[in-house]
Amino acid sequence: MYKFFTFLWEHRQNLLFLLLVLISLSALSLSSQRRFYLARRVNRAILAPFQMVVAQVDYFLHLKKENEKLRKSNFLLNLKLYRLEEVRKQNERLKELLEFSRRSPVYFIASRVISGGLGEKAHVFIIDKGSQDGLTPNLPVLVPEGLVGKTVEVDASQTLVQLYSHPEFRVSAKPRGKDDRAIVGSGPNNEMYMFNIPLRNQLEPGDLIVSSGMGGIFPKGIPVGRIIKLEEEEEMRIKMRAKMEPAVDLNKVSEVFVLADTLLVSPGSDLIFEATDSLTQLWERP
Amino acid sequence: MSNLKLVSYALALFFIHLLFYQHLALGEIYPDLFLILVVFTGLYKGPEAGSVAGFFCGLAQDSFSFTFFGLHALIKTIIGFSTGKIRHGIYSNNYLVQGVIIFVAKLLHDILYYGVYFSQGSGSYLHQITIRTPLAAAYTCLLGLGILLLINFRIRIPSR
Repeated sequence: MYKFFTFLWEHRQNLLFLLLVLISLSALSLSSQRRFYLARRVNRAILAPFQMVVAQVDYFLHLKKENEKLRKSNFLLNLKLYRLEEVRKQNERLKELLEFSRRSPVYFIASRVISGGLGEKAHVFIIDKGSQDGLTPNLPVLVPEGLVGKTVEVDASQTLVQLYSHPEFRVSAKPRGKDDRAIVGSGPNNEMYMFNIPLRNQLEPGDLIVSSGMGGIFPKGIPVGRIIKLEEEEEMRIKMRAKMEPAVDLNKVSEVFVLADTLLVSPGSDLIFEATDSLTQLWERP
Repeated sequence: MSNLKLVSYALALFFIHLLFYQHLALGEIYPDLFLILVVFTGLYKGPEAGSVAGFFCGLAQDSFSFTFFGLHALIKTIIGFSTGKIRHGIYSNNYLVQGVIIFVAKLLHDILYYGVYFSQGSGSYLHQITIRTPLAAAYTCLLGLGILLLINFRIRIPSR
């Protein structure tokens, strides 16, 4: 027994190394569901304390700058508001005249990104709103420029957002004003691609691609990106794919809006605004 | 340098990575501050500390990846251990050598990481390895040397 422990002590460097390698390999061989669960647990255990401090420091660093920006934008928005109020009243009157049915309101919950990943190929964000604010999995996450991703795991006060750059992210999309519906997701070199496009299509470089409303998560009309070039699919040459420039630069995203389920949002939540018109009308301006 | 000092530098680097990671990017070229931390720990404290630092830094990075959870931890453990092992075999009490070690470590890291990353799709592994990785390695190496100079600290490898 003594010899055994002496052996262990003498080879502790190599044994520790082997143990860590084995743990890493076991983690890699887990099923995707277990990997996801473990990643989330590790994230909370190792990074949560750091993230809280970092989020606070980051918040104060940007507070002054943001305050000035908000003052300016507040002034401009107030001016616009007076004008829009008039337009709204006029619109209401016209709607009544046309007997438009009033649709359920949609709620946008503003959230701060408290962690944007640690690697070059980061695929997730963590935001500072959770189930207590009315969030559930599979809600669209947006910024005014367009699509960011969707919620995947929701805790009481934090939510994990799967970004459009994630290898498993997919959204049904189509060019604005055209009918060539296809799937947009992460492709070679982690760039955005539109896949499975029929050879005969009306797509052109520069076309704005928006969500098609199919698939049950993303409403119709959210900008996803613009087509840069069309090319043949590498595996099957009967289909084409389009390389895209995303509508949203993820490196510049610090705040997002989650399109929340109307029934789960409590009256005290941070509601940014409620839109009584359909989402399509919010983006698809004439 | 005391253990306490090393741990405080490590924590500072960790915070810098979390706070300014996106701002440190030069276009699409990102430095790997965790790798600098792993290499320094391996060089200064040996294979045990190097592999443990590599494992936990890698795990922290992996916690943002669903698909390749464990891959950063595996590669960084290997790098931390190898750096600790070779520290007596080379003239590593020198800024230039330390810079070269960071450069080579980043190259090896990316060759292994993206080898697995792109194995699931038709991605341009070659583009990543031949263009972006050498640039990222050079940037990481310069940043590593910059940190050493900033804190006026030269890694003195303890004799066997």
